[in-house]
Amino acid sequence: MARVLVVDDAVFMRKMVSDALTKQGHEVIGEASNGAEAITQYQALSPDVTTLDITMPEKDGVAALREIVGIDPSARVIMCSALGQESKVLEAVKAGAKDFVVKPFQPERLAQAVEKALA
Amino acid sequence: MTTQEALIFLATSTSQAAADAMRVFAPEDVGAGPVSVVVPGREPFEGLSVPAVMTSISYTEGAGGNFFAMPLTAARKLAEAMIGMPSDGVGDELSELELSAVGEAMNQMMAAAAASTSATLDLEVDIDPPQVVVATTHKELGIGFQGDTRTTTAVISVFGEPCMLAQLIPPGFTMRLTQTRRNAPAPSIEPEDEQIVAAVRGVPLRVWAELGRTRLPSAQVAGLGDGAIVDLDRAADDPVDLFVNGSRFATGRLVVDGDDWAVRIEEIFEHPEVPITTGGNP
Repeated sequence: MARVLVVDDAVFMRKMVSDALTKQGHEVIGEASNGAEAITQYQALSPDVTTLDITMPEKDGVAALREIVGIDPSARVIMCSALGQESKVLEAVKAGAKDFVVKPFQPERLAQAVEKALA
Repeated sequence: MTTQEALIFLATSTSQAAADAMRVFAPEDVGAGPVSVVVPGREPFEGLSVPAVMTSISYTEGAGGNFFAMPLTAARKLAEAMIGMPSDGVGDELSELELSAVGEAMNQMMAAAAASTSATLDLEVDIDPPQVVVATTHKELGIGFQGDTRTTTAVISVFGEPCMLAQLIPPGFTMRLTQTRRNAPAPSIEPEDEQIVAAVRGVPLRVWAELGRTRLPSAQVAGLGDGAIVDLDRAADDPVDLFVNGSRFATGRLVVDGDDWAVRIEEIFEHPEVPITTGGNP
């Protein structure tokens, strides 16, 4: 079981990700709707795993990832992206993301990514 | 290929990709309908019923973009299907969760549409973050025209209600398409060569993609341990090389296809480079 921070600007996606994680036995300890909030929440909560949407207002997922990894080099972050954002995904993996899931995703794929990040 | 044909070709492939993306959320209730080129000066969404939810994305370069408008009644049914419970919105209003669900479906659809345009044109099409609005009048559904940009529309039905995808296509895109198609005539084959061609077509070839390479002194290679980082000669956003049986024959971009890596070809060399040998200069 992992303590997870879920970051997405769409309340619907946060609900979907949170529901899937809860069903898989994880605990969602916090949610954030943009990159700046994600960083604040990360520092306050020290989650085991963070899911991070790429396209967000204020500060996008890749910029937030860089700051989170700067604060905690062992951070376990999974990126969520829509189709057509391959270059951003590549950038994120290079910047230290542990895995990525492409939306729309199946709950099993998310479970797999969390397991991989925890390994 | 004429400009008109190019516009229809692009609009058709884009609308199919968009409909496929929408089917993920409503597998039985999405249909791709007719495609047409809008007469300059006309608004593409004139005939659509309001209120409607509209999402739009702009291409970061050029005056292009995609717009998708869906009547509120269809949006509500889609939200119900996505959330998995009856609507909690009142009258013409969608609840925050409903609007977020519909916005997410439309955004994923627009990303898929842009990715398809990019693949069809063999051109990187970057998009700005999508905007979602609820329009109560046709005026708010207005797109407007800019210069030589052409507009196409495609009807996509969602839960039996006609929704509409409009694509603003900059002249550069159509030009690229008419030229690419003209430069690639189907190869003609003499009948007597057909057997040879058939045999050759079955030969398996080794195809691989190369991310980058480097040269290291042997002592350094011998000293590499688990977790060591080896820098390669490419930047993260450089194209990758595609090799067939040792010849570099194309360059492309790494893309994600489902859960797998794939390569979208950017340029095929007319004269592939000669095979490289192990240890040769890159």
